[in-house]
Amino acid sequence: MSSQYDLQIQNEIEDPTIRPKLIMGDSTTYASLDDDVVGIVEGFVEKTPMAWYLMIATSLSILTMLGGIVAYLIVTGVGIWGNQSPVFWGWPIVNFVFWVGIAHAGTLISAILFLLKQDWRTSINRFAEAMTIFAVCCAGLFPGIHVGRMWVVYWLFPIPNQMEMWPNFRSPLLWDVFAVSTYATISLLFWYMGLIPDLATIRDRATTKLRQGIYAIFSMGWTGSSRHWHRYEKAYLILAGLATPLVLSVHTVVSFDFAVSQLPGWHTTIFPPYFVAGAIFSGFAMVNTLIIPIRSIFKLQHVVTLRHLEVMNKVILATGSMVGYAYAMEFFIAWYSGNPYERFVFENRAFGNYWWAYWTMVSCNVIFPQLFWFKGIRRSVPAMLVVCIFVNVGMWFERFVITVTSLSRDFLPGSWNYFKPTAFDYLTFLGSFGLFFTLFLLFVRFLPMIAISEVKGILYKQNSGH
Amino acid sequence: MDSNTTQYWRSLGELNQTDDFKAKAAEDLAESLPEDFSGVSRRRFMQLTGASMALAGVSSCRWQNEKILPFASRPANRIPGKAVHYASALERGGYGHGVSVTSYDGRPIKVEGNKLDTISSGATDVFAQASILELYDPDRSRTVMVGGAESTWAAWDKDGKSKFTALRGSGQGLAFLAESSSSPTVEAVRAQLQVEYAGAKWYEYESVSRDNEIAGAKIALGDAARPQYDAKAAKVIVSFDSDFFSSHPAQVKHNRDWAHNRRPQNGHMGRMYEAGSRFGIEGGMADHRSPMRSVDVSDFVALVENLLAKDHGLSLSPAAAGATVNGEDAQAMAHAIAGDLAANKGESILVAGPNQPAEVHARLLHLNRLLGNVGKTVTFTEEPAAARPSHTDALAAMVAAANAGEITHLVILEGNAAYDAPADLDVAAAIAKIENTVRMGLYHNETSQLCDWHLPRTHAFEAWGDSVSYDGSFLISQPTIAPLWGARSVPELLTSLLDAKSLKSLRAAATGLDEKAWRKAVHDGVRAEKALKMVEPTFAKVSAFVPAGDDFDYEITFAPDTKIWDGRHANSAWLQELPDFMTKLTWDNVAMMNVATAGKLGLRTEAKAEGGHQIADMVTITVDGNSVTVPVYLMPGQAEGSIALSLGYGRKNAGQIGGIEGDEDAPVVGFDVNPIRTSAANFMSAAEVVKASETHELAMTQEHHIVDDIGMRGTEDRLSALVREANLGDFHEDGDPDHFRHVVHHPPLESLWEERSAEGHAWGMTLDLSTCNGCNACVVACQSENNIPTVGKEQVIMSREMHWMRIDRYFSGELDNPKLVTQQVNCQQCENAPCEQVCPVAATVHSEEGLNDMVYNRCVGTRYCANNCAYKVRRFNYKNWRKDLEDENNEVAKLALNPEVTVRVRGVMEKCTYCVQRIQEVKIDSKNAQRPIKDGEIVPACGEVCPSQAIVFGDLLDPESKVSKGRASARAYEMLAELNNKPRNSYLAKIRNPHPDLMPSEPIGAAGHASENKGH
Repeated sequence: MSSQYDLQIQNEIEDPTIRPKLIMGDSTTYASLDDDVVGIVEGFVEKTPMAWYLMIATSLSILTMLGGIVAYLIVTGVGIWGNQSPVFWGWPIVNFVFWVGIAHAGTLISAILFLLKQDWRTSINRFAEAMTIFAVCCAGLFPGIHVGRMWVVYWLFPIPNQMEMWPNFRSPLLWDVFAVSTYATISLLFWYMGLIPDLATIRDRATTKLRQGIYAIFSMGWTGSSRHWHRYEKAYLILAGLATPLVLSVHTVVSFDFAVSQLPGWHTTIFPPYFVAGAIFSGFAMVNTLIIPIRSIFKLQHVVTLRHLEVMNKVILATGSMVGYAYAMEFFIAWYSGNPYERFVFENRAFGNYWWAYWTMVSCNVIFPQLFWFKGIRRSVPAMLVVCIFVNVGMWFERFVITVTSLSRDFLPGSWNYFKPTAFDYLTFLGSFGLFFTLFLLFVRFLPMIAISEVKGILYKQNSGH
Repeated sequence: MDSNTTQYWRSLGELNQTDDFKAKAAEDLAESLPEDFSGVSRRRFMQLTGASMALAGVSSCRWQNEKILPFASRPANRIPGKAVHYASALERGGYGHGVSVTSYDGRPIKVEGNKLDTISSGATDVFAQASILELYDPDRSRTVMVGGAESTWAAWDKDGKSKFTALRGSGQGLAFLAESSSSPTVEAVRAQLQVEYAGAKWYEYESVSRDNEIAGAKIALGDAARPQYDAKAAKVIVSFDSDFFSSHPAQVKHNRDWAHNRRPQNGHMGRMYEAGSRFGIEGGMADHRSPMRSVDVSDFVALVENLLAKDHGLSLSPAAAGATVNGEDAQAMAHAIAGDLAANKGESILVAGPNQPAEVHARLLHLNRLLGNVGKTVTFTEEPAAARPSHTDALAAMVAAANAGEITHLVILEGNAAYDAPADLDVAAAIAKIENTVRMGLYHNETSQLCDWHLPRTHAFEAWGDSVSYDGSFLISQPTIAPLWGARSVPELLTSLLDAKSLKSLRAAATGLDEKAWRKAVHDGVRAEKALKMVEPTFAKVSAFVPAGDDFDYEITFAPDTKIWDGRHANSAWLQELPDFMTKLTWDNVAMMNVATAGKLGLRTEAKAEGGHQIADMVTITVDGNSVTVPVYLMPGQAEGSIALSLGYGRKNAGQIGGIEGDEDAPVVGFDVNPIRTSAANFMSAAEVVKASETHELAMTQEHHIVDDIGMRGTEDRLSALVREANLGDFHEDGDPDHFRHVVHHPPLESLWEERSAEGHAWGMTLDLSTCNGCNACVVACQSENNIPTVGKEQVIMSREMHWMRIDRYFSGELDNPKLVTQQVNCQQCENAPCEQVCPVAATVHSEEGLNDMVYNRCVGTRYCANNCAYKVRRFNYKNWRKDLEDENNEVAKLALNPEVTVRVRGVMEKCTYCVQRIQEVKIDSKNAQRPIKDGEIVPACGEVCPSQAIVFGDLLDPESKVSKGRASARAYEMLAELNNKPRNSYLAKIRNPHPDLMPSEPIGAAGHASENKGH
């Protein structure tokens, strides 16, 4: 693997007269890039690191545990969790929104930034898209298993049937089904399409027949002819155009699950933009959390440079500030509306018996990201890792605060209650990480984690110096 | 919204916002780590996981095939699927209660009151409602037992009975220990027994009795007579520690009659006072209450007497001069009472409870006479129990006779003396001394375990029977199902010991009816002539007033539990899981005391929660060397220095529900307090009350959790909008019809969707907060009618109870002497139902008649509907609550299910339907008969059972219907109407009628436009 780049080169200097290089290392060529990225996949074959085996073993164990819990859940009922009355939605829905939120970064990076011609996206888009797909898998799991009768969950889809029973199109949950499934489909297509030229590269470099055969199937006969490229780029542009509104719509619709209800604390018009900002916020934080260790383990610092991370951190700072604004605005509106139930919910959030969750959320999501105003922190890899992990924690708590605190004290005080999770709540959440990391580790092992063909395009641009 | 001055709170934790408490609350709440695996051990979890994996392949198994056949010839009067109603009766503690049993295809499934019974008039109490569950209780005794082993009736007839019949003639050594019975047939059989077994002894024991009342009547009247109260004719009721509206055998009638005087639209409002130690239904209904120890009540009676004599010229002899009570409030109330009594001569009722000594009863009877109430609001009938010794005396006599070796053969008829006898009588040892013992009972209980033979007894619905109600109605109970387990009735057992007469002839003699009259009596359930004659007693000279001995440190009072009585209903899951009226406690009993008493004892004076569960301190109470340890419940309004205990818990051999000692799957429920109850007194001084080291987890349906000061403020701010009330003076019935609707002002409401219009009918309901006393009968009636499962203590702690109808309870005012607000909450059947809109599969939809229908087999269980319900009336089947029915042994319990109502599976949502099955039945009948539905013809289960008729159902499209008029009345308002849900339920605001002299300086409750201060 080539790593002959100069660590001392600062490509994040904001000097308007110089366009800094996105890809570092003077010796980075198309061939060395292939070596760097595809080499990871090939390297695994020759000598899979012990660490990978350990990690996949751990993830698979956790995934198996999740499978066991789901089986037990199907036999016993959702009563194994702490859900009760009035907190009918507990951790499963919190986890669902958490994962859906994370799933936002990928499409934002690959679609919107593509349309905006933000070239820096190329180094991380494959990775972020993969993360999106896996996060959607985790997200999709929860609504499926949290319903009372999982075996008839297909009734949520508008499948023509002899009863002429249609789902209720007024229900935000139904919109959710469409939004999430569309998002999952488009994201998967987008990701897979982007993969095709790179899969072909692996195929072409393959040293064994088996590998060649498998990658040949998935690269769908890609030859790299200009006709292929022509069609590929058109299709890519179209998909990017299709995916762009989805970035905004999915979490908007997810926020409708709450906003359309009449529950104080849910019933607010600020939810769609607030949720979208929060989703991008959490998605970017998750990308950073994952890519920071990955780039150093696989020595990709010249492709995913500090400059990339810094740009990500700026997005986190911006969206984190939006989220903070939303928190403040919710309070203002609660007070300004004069609605006593609304006022109570927000007072209760901050100072009631869930104050600990609320202040965890605020410190993780609003206070810590503000450190990114300081360039030193924005560029310090350990510091940003800590902040990003805080953001991940904070965003889980945000969903917890919204879901649980609002439900636990709604209109009639006689029904109020305090939610207490069971061990199954913890284990199911942990299990979803098992699913996520299993998929993620398989991705790292079998697929190119950098969009080689796109990075090559950048490389061409920066080398030819237009 | 009006945020007025009334301070509302729900528990003591809310009121005591000490720094210590806050710190503790914060600490407790911060760590919500799981402590358990939701009741599943690791090993069990692995087992289940393995089994579930293995069973995954079995999912293709089919339902069991069942063949059903039609009748070759249909029995007369039997239309499949059509319910038949039979008049019958239940008896508890020697008082009959007329009921009407709904029977489907030969099996009783529901109990209503007998409309022809003058006490019931169609309503019932919780016990009658739960009797269906008892009938089909799988734990009922099924076989004859001898020496703990199963046997047969044939064996009894051959071997067992002969030992007893051998005594025929002299009857020496034979004794009967029976529960109280009013049955004329049993009486006739007993008389015949006395003929054939001359020396046989008959002892009658009930652990809860009205013997003090009888003794009081003997003092006042010379001979016992039973007072009958007419609350309808009364303008003032003064309850001295009484159970007038709760445990009294005529409480259903009292409630109905008094409710008549608590509806302002009737043009008159009664006023009620209560003085007593426990804060119960009477205290909750009272306009004024003064908490005082039970021992102090006689002083209070004397004070009222004094004031009547001094200020109102009532000549009282001998006057109890000098009597006084502590506390300005109590004295002020005594003045008010005296004034009201003097102003309403002949229109008041003074009544004391069964815990009060005979002297208090006697003095009150005199006072009723002096006030001119006798013959008007208080009349008298014969007292059939006049001749018998008191229950405790009878049991003491039996124990003495047994210990003296005078009893060789003992027949026990029901009852459970081994469990509920006073502690100073060692019944178990006495029974052990007797050579031949046999007990007949519904359950093989603690007492049966001590006997050689146990014989299963028939349930009231399985055998012929008769009884006499409190007011003297002669009730006939006919069997509505053949004995499920081949059991026999008590009269059958007793006549089998006789030589001479058959049961039939004895019964005919007892009832005194010819064939035609008998048929009518069986049909009606009530004989035309009363069994007890009216009497006009002459008042004897009243005994001099003796001030109560007053050196009590802590007073202990005992009362039958509001749910399981003296323990005889301990195996009823419906009753165990019923939230107590005041405490909202299920599956436990507690020592109730007020905060000051708890503080004195060094107990926590605020609630403690651990991760959301309520943990109670425990106290050890010692009396005469015996002690019990019970959890403490801080009860606002409980008299200081008085500790209230409930009987009936801690049964050691009650069954799978009520507990079996040593059985892990059936833990003993609650704490047995009988060990410190002596035969001497009804309230007593505890030698010692000390804090115990243990704590106990309580399962409550309200205040599951600790409430911080924000929660308390939030409750305070909104309660006046949710539960609207006013004092009589601030409210005018013919004033603004939207008086109470204007408590909350809101901008014009707009609907997101096209508004629904009703077609044909628009069903609606009014719930009267003024007359609801919170007796819980509606909750159990709903449970019985709608096949509502019980979930058990663990699940109640997790807040997963399933009741469709609940009664929210809030306190307002002072901690020491709060006011009570109760509110029945069922599905409000919103026209703009928020639940319907959010269901993704359209499993909850609107009917043309305005019902918010729940389609169980369409429900996938997203639970979004419940989240969006502002009233939180939806209940979710988190687990398979019917798992117990899978056990072959519990097959019989399925018979209790109402075939007209779906049994819900795990994973679906459920809620009140306004008893849609009852609506449909009447609609079909009226359609077949081609006539319109009459107002009042459709009655949901909750409305039918309600003693005070606080729940009215009907068609809102009919302007003449009761419900339309109620909705149009000045008291009506809709809860949370500002959400534009358009509920079909209307609440009728609570009107209190305080004495002008006792009015608080600031008005109580929301007063609509009267207090136009803010929030409009």
